[in-house]
Amino acid sequence: MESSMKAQIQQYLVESGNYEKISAKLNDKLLEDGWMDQVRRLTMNEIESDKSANFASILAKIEPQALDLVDQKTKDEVMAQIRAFLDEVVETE
Amino acid sequence: MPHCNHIEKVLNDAKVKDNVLKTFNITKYILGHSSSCDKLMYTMKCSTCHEINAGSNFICLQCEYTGCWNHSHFLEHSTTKNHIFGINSSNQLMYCFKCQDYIGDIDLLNSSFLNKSWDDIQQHTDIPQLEKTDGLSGFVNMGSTCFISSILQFLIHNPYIVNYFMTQQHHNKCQIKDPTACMSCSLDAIVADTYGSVKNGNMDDGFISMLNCAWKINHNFAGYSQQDAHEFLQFLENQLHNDYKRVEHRGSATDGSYCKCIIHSMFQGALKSSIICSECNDGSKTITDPFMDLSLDIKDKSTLYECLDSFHKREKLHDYNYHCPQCSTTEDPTKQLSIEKLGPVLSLQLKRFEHLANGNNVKLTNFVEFPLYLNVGKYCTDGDAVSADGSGQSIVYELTAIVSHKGTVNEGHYIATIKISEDRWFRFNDSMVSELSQQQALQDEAYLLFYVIKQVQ
Repeated sequence: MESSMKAQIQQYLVESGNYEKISAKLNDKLLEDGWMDQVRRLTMNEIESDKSANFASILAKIEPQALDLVDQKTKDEVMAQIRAFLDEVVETE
Repeated sequence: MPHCNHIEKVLNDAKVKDNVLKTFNITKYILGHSSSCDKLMYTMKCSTCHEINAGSNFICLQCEYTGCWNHSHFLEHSTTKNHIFGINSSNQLMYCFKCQDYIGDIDLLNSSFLNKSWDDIQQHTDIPQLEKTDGLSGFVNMGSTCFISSILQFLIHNPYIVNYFMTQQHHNKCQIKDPTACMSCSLDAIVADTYGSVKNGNMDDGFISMLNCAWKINHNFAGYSQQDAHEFLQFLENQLHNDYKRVEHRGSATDGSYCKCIIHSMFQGALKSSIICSECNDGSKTITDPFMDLSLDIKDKSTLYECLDSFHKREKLHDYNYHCPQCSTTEDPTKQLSIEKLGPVLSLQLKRFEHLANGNNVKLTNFVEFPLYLNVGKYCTDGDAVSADGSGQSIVYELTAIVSHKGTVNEGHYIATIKISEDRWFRFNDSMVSELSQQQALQDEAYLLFYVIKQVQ
């Protein structure tokens, strides 16, 4: 998606208060799914295995795994919320 | 993580050090005091691509630029302008884009607000020893003291209690200053023994002083005979509250406001007991009572949520001489308990000890499953469960401590299982401390559960 369009949509999301709402819901879900604890454990293991690694290298290793570990149900729910909002504001041709 | 020499150089340069710390402090202050909307619109928006929260967003230490992580825009800025330090607008940490790492090991940066008094602080403080930072030490059983030590382990690993004593809020004002004569002083001594360097004497000194002090107040709680851990907690809470009243020269609040002592600030909540007329819905007989913990029935229940659901559910109230002040009916009203106010710490007691009519005491040993994260939002509203679209308040508490009881009513043993530093669980069995897995911790036959507020949406 074009960067400036994404930025515009985000602007609307924030101004309408929806960004915060959706973000808070996602945060809740990730906490209750146990995802945060899981990713923390992964990260701690990674740090233990290479004490001299810096943040950037650890993030590069962990990020793809972490994104993958998110519950599909959670992903779907949040996407649905974003889609619902977009349907209201974005004009489609 | 390896040490950042770049920031070290900056902080050692007397000409720029103060300005750098001042800028850092101001930025952290603004981040901490902005509304979420402002934060998103200004501090989390990349100056280059204008996207919000594209990975983390960094505020430049040296100019008004803010750049995102995902599209490497701050990285570009750092190489073109040679401004290598960025402050993450979500977590307020400083990142060095040369080292590609956060700077976490410089005390002066971590406590940048203390810059002005730094020399004085360095003279009068000691860095705690690494092996004592988690407070992993047990209490030697001095008779039947497990009902005391398990409660103490919960308290000395609770951040509110530790902070209260580390900041010397009691010590500074107490005229007695004697752990054998003041319960707060003895708990203070125990916290100091647990986390600090033990100057002279023994690790057990604080604990022994507390037993000594407890004996003077109530022989039952000195550890000669087994007592109920929950009762000891109530006893200790009462002492701490009274000590607060003594050192602050306060009587009990007469204007109905809540007591500000450490105990009430932590634990006190309020329960609303709604009595609703089944004919006209009049609710004027509803009353609100404060509570320090919730006692839950566990008969025929297998999960904590089931116990709370039962506690909260709307019921017809029989054997209650009701007379509606509005419509005058005497029909049985409906009653419901809901939570009106919550403290940051939620204590739950599972009613395992039942006193039967024939004089015998019996222990209910059924396993009750409890969650790592407890959402109590739905118990704070009237009516039934949650609204149709699943929305409604979300109030999530995190499990931090379990006190479990093994054995019979008359001969039993208490053990504390505590969550230490984010993700590890330890079992405290008198003087023995051992690590266990999260799985194992969740299998405890819990008697007391202590949850601490995690997040409110």
